[in-house]
Amino acid sequence: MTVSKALREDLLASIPNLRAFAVSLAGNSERADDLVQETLMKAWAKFDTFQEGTNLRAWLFTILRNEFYSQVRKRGREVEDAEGTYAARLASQPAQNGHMDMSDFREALGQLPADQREALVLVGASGFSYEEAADICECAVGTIKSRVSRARTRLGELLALELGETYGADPMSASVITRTIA
Amino acid sequence: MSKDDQGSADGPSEKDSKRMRSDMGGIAIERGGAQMEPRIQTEIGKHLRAIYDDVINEPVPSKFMELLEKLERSTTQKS
Repeated sequence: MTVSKALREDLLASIPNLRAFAVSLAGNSERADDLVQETLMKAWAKFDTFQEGTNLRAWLFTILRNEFYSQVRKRGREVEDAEGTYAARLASQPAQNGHMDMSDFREALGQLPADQREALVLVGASGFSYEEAADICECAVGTIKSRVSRARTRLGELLALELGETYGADPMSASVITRTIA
Repeated sequence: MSKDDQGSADGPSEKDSKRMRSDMGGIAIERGGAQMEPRIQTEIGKHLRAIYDDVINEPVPSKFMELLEKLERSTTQKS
């Protein structure tokens, strides 16, 4: 099939968003880029099923997410290991915006259950509505709402601690606190 | 359970919210994100977007452009 120039441009423009979502799922940028590559190829192969004028970004996110979970099912142990190092890797990323508490936040985000992190990222960072996020995750809107809510509560506990009396705690004790209140 | 009970993000009624608040000794962190202290909510959003935007703002690796060109060429050849 022929892909229109406009659609090709939109596809290109979606790549930064797809990469950001892929990193949040896979936890490392190398694997994230593999996911994006697979997504682009799959999308291209089935563009005839995409209704032009509908939400391309949501369509692409759905493909990427399905690809991720199908890899998880195929790889099994390997992915388990990747999940295990996710929090550590996130926490070791340098904070690029100068926030003192960013690495703690990354660690807390990495420790969230995958379904909660995914819902929170889709709604809180990718800018999807609850309805769009529910479509992407193929679940009920209420399920997305409750996942986002639980994720926010969990992260809120950590941030409240940081903004409160434990402000200035060294990373080691902060992470102990993080685990204690989990 | 009514349909409305499924999602707590929109939060309990104001009455429930007040009751929860007093139950928790004034700590403004509750089940629903909507009832969380606004400052905390804002912080979560800011942190989340900062992490996400770090990736968004990275230049798109050239391999993706090359891939799209390759896909385009293969499509053109076929048709």
